[in-house]
Amino acid sequence: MQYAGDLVSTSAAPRAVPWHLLAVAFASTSIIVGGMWDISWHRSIGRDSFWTPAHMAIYLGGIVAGLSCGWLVLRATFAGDARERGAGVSFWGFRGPLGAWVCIWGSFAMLVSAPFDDWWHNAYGLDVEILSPPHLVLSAGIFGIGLGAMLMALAHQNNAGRTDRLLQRLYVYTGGLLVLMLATLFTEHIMLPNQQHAPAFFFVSAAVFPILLVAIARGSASRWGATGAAGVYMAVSLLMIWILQLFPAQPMLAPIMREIDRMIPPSFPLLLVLPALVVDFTLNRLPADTGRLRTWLVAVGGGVAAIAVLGVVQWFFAAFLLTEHARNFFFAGDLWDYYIPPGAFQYEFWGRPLAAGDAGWAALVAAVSSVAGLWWGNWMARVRR
Amino acid sequence: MSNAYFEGAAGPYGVRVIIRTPGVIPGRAEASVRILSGAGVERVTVRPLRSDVGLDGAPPPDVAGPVRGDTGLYSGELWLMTSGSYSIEVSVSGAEGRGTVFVPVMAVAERSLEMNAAVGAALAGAGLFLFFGAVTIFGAAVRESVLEPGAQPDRRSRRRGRIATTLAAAALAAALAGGWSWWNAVDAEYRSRIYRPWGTSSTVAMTGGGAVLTLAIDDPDWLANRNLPGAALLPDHGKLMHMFLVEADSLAAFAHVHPAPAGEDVFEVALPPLPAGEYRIFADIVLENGFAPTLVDTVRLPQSAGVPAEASASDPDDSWAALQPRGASTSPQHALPSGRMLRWERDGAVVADAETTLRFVVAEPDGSPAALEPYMGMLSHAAVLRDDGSVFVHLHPAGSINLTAQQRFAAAEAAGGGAVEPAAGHMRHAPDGPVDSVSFPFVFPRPGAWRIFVQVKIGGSVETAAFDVDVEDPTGASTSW
Repeated sequence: MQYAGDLVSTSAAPRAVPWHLLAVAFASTSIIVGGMWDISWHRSIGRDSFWTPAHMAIYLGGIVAGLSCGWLVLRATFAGDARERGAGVSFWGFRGPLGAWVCIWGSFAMLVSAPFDDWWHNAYGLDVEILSPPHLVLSAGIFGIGLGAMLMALAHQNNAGRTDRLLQRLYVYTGGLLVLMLATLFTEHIMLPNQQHAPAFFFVSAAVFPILLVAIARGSASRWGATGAAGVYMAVSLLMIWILQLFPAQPMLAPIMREIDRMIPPSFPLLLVLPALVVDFTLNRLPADTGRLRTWLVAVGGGVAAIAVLGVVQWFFAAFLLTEHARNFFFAGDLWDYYIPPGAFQYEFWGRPLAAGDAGWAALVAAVSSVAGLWWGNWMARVRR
Repeated sequence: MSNAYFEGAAGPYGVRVIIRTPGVIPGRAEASVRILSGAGVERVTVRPLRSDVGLDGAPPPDVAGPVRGDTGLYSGELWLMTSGSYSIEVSVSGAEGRGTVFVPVMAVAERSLEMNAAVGAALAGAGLFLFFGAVTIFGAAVRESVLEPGAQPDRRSRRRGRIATTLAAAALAAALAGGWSWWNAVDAEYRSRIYRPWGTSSTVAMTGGGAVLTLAIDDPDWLANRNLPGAALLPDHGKLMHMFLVEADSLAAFAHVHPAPAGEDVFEVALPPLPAGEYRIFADIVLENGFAPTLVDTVRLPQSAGVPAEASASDPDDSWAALQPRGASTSPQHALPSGRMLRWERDGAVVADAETTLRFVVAEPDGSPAALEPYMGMLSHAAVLRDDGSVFVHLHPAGSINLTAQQRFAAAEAAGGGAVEPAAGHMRHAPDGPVDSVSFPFVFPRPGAWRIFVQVKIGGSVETAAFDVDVEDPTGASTSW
């Protein structure tokens, strides 16, 4: 992997970022902000409609991504010159950047999920669980837009000769949004500090984070891609925590089991920058001409070490989040959904804590996840279209 | 059908409240409130109170807005998130002050929804598009995405692209199969939660005193839950059970009897002289928590069932009647055995899902107004039955709600949540002066052939009339459930 470009790019004037990259980055942001807002809405107010502002933010993201990428491929296909057509991949006779196709697919999946979800509610009742088949279609669509946005930024980063700081940052930013999307989707049952001594926390973390951090690091032209993406994950989460708390809210559904006067924010984010630093630091040790086996071993070591660091750090940080020192605006500890009756469980760890055998299994899961991340990241490092 | 109908007083205002339940839980019920008397109404609010948490766990009330084009009618939405027993608080405020009344509602999942062909085809088409779109993208990613812009994929790239397409198709197909079985599991779980009345077994035995019907509640769910708090049976109008027997085939025989407990979960009643045949049983009970289910069963009465009228009644309020078979008459008049005439004052067509007032007038044989007497505290009882037995509603002039449950809710909220108006007691509907007519608020939930049984008490004896009605479909289409 060549990183020499980093050293010379600082003084180079960044080229203008194409508008469609900004459009899909905005779309991805709008969707994840809307999604986190919507989850908070259900935990604080309970009752929603098609027209809540949180839903609007999600729709806006879907529309912006679908329309901008749709226009991009129509122009490239019908009005593009050879250079423009050659910059894309073919899809049923049309031409366009790979990321644009993924975004279009995501927009269409979001669109299809709407009537499916409507039927679902008529048949089986209003939402009780985040995960249902129509919501999974919606989630796949959201993931598509997040992934498409990252791939579009990635192709531009790779084509810019790895010297364009702005494009590198855009790639890391969209990668961080993708981490946040997947964390929101897959870590629903491990995000409370009360859950973070139980084996499930380590298994899910070991499955979700090494693949993302290793892949993003490997695809990044900057040395600190995983750290940057983890920083974006934490920063957006923290902003949501601090902003949502500013808004008053009143529960609108019975039974109301506790007093609530403001929007319930997400839990404090995982301290993901620390394992991400481990991943970046490990992968940066790899010289470009490393033999294959050694590359894989180093990636696996990095991923497993990252999860070990996350586990140790979060073990103590979760304990802190359960103390009264975390019950303030900054850490937003001990804020619970209106329908959860108060109880001593709020201040306890739930379930049985991690045992040595669990840690071994988690390490194995992290190793597999890291291998998948390296495989994905090696491909991303080469994406040009 | 657990729609609820109530007509009575909310403080100084006369109101008719119709709660259309959503059929799925969680879901949104519609509450319509018609102001029947009282001037200067400014604001109508509704809110659901769950029987176990009441006002303490309730959200702020929702304003029911005036319905355009229908003066005096207000409509609001109720979010019912969990199954069980609710009390709907209806508050009216205006020039005459503020009045509140509680309307009990059972929130239960009642129906399953089949996907109609057009929606199914559209979703399947969209799903196929997403499927092939995704595998195409995988193929393109492997084939072309890593090539220099402008370069053409070579044979090797194309072959790798085809392999990626195939692998992606296999993986996605496996994911779809997983999704399909997930959907089926959700569907099966939902269907298992669809409300069905507790299972019962009914038998008829001949004794020295005549035929005795025994009904035992033997549902595992009932047996598992009957000792929980709030699950004890409450008397309603002094009876633990109100049982209706209707001859299943022609609906030509009808009885309203009151079985007494004969051991735990077992009820017994001496049968009146009913003709032999297959009978549908609808038995109303009410639990302390306000849940008021109708138990449904069938029983075959033998030729010799029943004993002479004078000796048969195990309860002085038991009543029965032989009637014309269904469809034999569409007359709005029914000649009672005493020679009195009971007339249904119909106005026009009866349409499903539309608010209706079922109004009946009783005349003496000479045509002069008859004087109705209270029958178990009510001016009249009616039973409305779809001819296939699929819907049965026991109505009073105060509606379909269980008044005992209503009084308990009102007492509980008055004790815990500050002063509220006393609930509309049933004696409000047994006024002082002579009355020759009764009316029942109702909404026929489905189109089809229905029979209305009306019971009145005059001169100390109870008489029963029956009216057949074809309820029209408001849309002209057939219903799917």
